[in-house]
Amino acid sequence: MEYRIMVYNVTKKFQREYVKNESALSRTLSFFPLKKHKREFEALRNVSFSVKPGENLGIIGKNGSGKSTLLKTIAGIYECDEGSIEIKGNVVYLTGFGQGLKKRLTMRENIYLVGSLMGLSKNEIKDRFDEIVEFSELEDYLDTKVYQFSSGMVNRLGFSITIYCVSHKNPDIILIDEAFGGGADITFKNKALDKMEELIKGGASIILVSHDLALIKKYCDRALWIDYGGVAKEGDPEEVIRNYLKPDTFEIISDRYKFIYFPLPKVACSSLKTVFANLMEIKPEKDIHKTNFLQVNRIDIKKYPNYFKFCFVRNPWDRILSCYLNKIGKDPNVNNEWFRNGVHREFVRMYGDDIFRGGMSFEEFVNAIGKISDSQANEHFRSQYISLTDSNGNLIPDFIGKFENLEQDFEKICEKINVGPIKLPHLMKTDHRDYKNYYNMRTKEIVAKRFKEDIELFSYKF
Amino acid sequence: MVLKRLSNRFKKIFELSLQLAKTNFKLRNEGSYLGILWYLLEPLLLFLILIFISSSFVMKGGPNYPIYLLIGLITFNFFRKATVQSASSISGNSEFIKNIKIPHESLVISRVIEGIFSHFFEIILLIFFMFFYKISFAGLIFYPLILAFLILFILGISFILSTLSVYVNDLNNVWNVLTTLLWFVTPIFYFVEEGSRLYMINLFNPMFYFITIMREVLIYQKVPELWMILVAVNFSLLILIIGFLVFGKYRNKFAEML
Repeated sequence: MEYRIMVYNVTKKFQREYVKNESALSRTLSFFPLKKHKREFEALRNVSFSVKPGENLGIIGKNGSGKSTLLKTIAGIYECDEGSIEIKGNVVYLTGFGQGLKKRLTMRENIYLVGSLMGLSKNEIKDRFDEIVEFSELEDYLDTKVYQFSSGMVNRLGFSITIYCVSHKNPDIILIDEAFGGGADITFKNKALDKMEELIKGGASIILVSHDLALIKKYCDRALWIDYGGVAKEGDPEEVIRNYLKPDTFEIISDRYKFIYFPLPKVACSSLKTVFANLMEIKPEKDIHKTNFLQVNRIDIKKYPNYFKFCFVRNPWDRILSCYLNKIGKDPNVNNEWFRNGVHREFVRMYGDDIFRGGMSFEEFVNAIGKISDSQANEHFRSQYISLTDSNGNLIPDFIGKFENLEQDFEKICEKINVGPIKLPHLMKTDHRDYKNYYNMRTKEIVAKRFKEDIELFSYKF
Repeated sequence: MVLKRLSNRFKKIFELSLQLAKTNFKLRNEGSYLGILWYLLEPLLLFLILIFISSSFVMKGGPNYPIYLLIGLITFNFFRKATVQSASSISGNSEFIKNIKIPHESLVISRVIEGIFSHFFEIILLIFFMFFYKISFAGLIFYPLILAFLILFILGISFILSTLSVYVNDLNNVWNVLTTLLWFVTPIFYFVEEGSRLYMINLFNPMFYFITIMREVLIYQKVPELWMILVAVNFSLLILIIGFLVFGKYRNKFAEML
């Protein structure tokens, strides 16, 4: 297959504990002391995709998810640690306009300076000079120093130089990082957007990183959602954006059976999702949690007053134990699709390598959980009531089943939504002894304190 | 074909370096009333003070002492200023390195070129004093050649320093102290006897060779001893190669280290 950019399994790590720019003294001293553990932070993990000639790819994701790192790695500013990037053609990397503009120089001098920073020779800039000046509409200020310009004028200048230099280089690939049109008055903005569009539609392959989702929808043929350094979804921009905008807790809705189910992780959620997928005739994905259920936002739930709303909750002590057995490996050297150094990758991505370690004892685990508040908590150990209450703290579901009583409670639900009795498959069965054996006085207390609300609300006892 | 691409790349790097050097030079002198005089003030002042001191002490100066002194002063000054400036050329330009794909070499080279610009004024000062002390200009023909090797040496040092400064933040201070030390070790305002302990130390000092050769050529219009020339050339090429290798090895790490 023909392609312009081929990114294959790229992983990029940054040293996290590395104190940058240490002084000479502390450097010399640090030769002696004990081994320092180098902690790495995976900014990108196994990212693969390709871009065809003339194709426009949009990249979306939260702040700090690795979008810019990815672009810089493709641009060759960063080196990737693993994997490979193949590029056919010349690349232009664009972040902001007028990088390197010096306020103490005149506009004329700045055009030559920024032009040569963008890789044009003096003669090439000379050829483009008039066009740049004309486009910026700043003919009268050629020999004025830029510090006397208004910020709008600086933007105009920066945009004009950059855009003409880029189009002069006639690149095969343009990487655009949150740079689209300069912030100037309306007339110029429209002009700038037109020019930008001209550039994008000029036949080069584009990778566009933006938080402006409308822009992605408008110009991109394909979109890539990067989350925690990995590709969360790839495909049609509309669909990727729809997925991206979903909150991380969402409720499953069925119009046919008129119910809304609040899935809580570690509370039979895989089993229930499988059952409902069959019921609603949705093809379950290999990873059941990625199945494309019809979903409803928490805020929109009140639009469905007649729907039967239910959920299941679980004894917090039991749930935390299950979480421990599930997410922390016994062997700290386990590295695979799911685990990194014996810790579930989802945890590593959220908390780094410091808080959770492979092979940590249950007591250490409980200690760690006790210190993470609900606002910071991964959904696997977030208090259950949070997903079930509205902004006034009232419970939303009409029926709250108990994990400990799963089969009977599920029967009640089947009755309520008018389906015949369904046998629950118990996926992800955790076979461990009674949770009480794992706790001691201290850990018992920590969990009791940490999940006080759940324990009261759902009347659980140790 | 490959050669052409390589020379094209060199040309690009050089052009950008020159542009950056000009810009910085302009910015540095912008708005100062004395302008280029600032470049002369320091060596000139030091020169006059040392002349004054030497006239009060008995020094085996002879009639050529002022030029002897001046050559030492301006040559060392060139070395010191250019290397101190280029030491921060990478660490001080982090936003360029992180956001624009430019050849990193040109940031270093531009600082050295800037040093050459300001050294130019010192050379004019030298020519003026040579005229004043009635010294023949004949030796000046060879001056550019010696200067070229000195520049290669400085370039090598600059590449090493700019790489180090990415990892060590107060390298500038360390380098300042080191060059001050070197200033006193190098026979700039005094003479060394052949065979003395200081002379032995100076055999390991590249600046000693450059300055001695310049003096031989400019003041006495003599061809310097061959071994001196060979050592100077070796120093400059060796350091330049080491500089290239060090810089080349770490250049791809700059963006994430800054």
